[in-house]
Amino acid sequence: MKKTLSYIVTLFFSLAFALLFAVVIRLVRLGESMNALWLVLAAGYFFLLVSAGLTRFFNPVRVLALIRVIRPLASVQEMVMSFVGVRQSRNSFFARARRGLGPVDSAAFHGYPCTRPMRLASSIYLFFLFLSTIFFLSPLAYGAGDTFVFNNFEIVSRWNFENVQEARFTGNGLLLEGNNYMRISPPAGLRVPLRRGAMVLRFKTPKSLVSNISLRSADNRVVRKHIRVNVPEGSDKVTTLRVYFGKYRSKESYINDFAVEFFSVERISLRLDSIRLYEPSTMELASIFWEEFWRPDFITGSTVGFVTTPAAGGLGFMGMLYIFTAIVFAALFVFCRFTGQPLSPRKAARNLLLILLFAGVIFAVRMDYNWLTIWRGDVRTLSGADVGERVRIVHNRNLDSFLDFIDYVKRTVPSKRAVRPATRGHNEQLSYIARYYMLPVEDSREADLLWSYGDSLSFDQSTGALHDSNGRLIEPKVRVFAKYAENAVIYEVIK
Amino acid sequence: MYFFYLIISITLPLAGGAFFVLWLLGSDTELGRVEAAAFGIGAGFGFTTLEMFFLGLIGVTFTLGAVALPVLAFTLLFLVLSRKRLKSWPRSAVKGSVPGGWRLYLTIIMASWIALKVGFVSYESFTRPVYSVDSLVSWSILAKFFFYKAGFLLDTSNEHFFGSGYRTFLGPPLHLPLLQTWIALFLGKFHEVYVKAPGAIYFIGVLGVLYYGVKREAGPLYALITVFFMASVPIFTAHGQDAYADLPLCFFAISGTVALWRFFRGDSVPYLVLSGILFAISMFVKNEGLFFALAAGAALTSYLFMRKKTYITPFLAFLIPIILIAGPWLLFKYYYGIGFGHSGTSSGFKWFSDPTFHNDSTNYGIHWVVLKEGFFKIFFTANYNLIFPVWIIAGLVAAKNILRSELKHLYLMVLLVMSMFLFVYLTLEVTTVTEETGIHRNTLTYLPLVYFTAAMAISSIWPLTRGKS
Repeated sequence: MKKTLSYIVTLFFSLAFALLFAVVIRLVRLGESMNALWLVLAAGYFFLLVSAGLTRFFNPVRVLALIRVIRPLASVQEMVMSFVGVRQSRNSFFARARRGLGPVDSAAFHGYPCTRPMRLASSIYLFFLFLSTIFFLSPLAYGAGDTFVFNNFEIVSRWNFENVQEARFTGNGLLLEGNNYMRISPPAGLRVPLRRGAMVLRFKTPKSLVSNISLRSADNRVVRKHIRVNVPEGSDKVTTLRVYFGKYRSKESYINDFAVEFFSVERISLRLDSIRLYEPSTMELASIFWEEFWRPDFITGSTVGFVTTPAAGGLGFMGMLYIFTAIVFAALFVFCRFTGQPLSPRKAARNLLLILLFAGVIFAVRMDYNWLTIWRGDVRTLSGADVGERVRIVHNRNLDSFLDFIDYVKRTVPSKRAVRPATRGHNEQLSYIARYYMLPVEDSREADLLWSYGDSLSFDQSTGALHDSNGRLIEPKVRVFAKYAENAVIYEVIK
Repeated sequence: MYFFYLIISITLPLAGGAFFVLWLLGSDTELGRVEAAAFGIGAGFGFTTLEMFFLGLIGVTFTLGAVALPVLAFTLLFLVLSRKRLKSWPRSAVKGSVPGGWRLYLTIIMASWIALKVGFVSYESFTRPVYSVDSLVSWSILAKFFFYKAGFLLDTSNEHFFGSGYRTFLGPPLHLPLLQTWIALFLGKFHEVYVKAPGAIYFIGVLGVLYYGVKREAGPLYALITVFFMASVPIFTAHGQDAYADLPLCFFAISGTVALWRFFRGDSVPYLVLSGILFAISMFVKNEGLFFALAAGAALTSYLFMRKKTYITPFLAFLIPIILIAGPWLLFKYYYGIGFGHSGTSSGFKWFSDPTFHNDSTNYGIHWVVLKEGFFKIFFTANYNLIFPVWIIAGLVAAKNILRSELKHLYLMVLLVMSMFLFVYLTLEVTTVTEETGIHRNTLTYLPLVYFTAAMAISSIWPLTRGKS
């Protein structure tokens, strides 16, 4: 019995390792080292699950001893425990495993004298083993897809680049330069068959920017993603942005158009290396979800009403935590039924609360990671900057020129004189921002000084009449009081 | 140099508040220094803004000397009055031994985590300028207006009467704008960053009051766990670094509730007075403070009724501070017709009709849609951690203990506050829920109460350390 089991276990693990080795080599040859690493990590996890699963039905000490690799692991664990000052029982799970097999005791393979926590742990592992098996049965290989590498003129000449002022080949890609917005789209006639679409965008940018990616399928389904790409100032690293667009209902569906847009508050200088549209494997999809889940949110001044909920593959974070709670609780319930242990409502509630508290810790880790990311960014940008500069930074530099104009108004308008917007309504964003930042220069509906910023007003110098862009008369007679820029002017009403 | 003045502007009222609390609660031998300082945030900042309100009412020009003198006098007065208590330097509320084993590791990890969180919020609060549009147009703009006008400008013929034309609605109370004006007066300029420093103080204050509230009943480990989870709440963290009034209200709500709870546990009238003061100031922080004062009044009534106690003294102890503190503000609103609501240009209510929701005939009526939407928003957005399921389960499991103890009055209070918010959502502020413009920050105001009651309920079934039973 013991020998048979030993052979089975050894054979199983040998085959598994051989298969893993082959797949990893294949992935590395395909240039997917990251996925190879993922696979190794997942396989290690799987190995632990299988071993734990076996311990559910056989003496865990013996099974773990059969899988000889557990011995060094147990030694490492003991060293760590000794280092942190925790004395380990000689009869603890790992201590017994480290010592290995004692005299053969056939009875130990049945009705094992296993402690309750061990049984609980192995039952929970078994449950996850079932889930992970489903996960691993799905295909590991990539599905169909297309990669567009921007390293030769033939490809680039057919693509559409909007708002790009300069483009030239450099290094591994195409260097694009332009003002604070640019749009890239493929030539007409695109046909990328995908059942579940993902995109990998490889580019290099020295500054943070915002990316909008939209994808359109033949059945006119459009998916958009809005992503902030946060890189350290002057970064020389290639950014790999992986985005999942969801599953397509129709098998015949294909992608026939997409667009990638970049926004920045400053001039964009970006080296585009490649765009890849493909059908991700389960592993790849899992890693995309993982990235999506950990993608940090940023503070914006648009609302004090809520904090955005992280999501992965369309499933919100809270949903994940409820599912996690339900699964663990169900596993616990099944375990108690299976082992015949009583589970009173009070005990069940206590366990449920404990699971919820554990889920709460996961919640704290994820959400506080977000604040930590923000903190890191703010230390870089806000610390040491003067207050005026910080105001510009916290408005994401969207108001830089307007705030410059406000400073100009405050310097130019004499004390005791008030201003008002020439055309903008009282509740328009720029109006109330101006009211706030212009103080102590007062905003008054009786004011004879009108400020105009980006309003495209027409001023007739001969008559002094001021009209808005629709030709509506604003004031019959004004003069230019001060001019900051072409579209940023202070007018004075002449009575 | 500005930072130095900022520290003085914050320390002076906080010291006054702490001395006041030490004087008021002098009979409580278990009251610790840190605990008194935590309660003192409310008393100190509250007194500061109330005296500025009265000075503004009688037309005194806001200068540093004029506004700082009463606060200095307040601080010195209670320093003298509490000197006996100060000499004895009270130790922390519940003496406990240093935990060992896994509890020690857990304590170290959680305490470090909380310290990191407080560090982050303080950094952002003291570094980031006023940035959210809501804070800017609702609170800071009025503070800036008061600062530059050196007063309220209570001339009804002036287009900028009391900040008209600057603040969107005149109805919201003045605590936060006046606190920002107070800091600006100390700094000599309206510093876009430092005026919002109270955000971090209130963040720390909520954690402090919650910690000591739970610690005295359930022991330090429960207190630390509660504070850890409270600190993990994203909307709480977001408001800690902003300059909006929901966090100050959240502070006054939890500190008033903990003081009320102390009265329930020991029939200590000074705690009831403190509770009345804190709930009264909450009405000077946001209009929703009224909900808390009403709910606390109902909880007190139910407590006195069930314990068959005399009504007069406790009721007066609770009510008089409310009348004295919140009364003038409400009378002021009534006199000038300022109102409470958000309806267009006026501050009146349009019952059963939210002007920003469905601009047609379907606009009028009870908006049941908020029930479904509200449920989803409370349970499925990452704004509060998992406290609501925990609170419900804890309430169900500990139902017997809750009903047998004074905890039922607190549960009643929380449910009443929730009901009042729900009533407003159903009849008045629909988009507050459907477009998430207010539901989460409204929930933030009573969230520490939910954490507090949940901790009390759980500890009543599974005590970790022996607390006061």
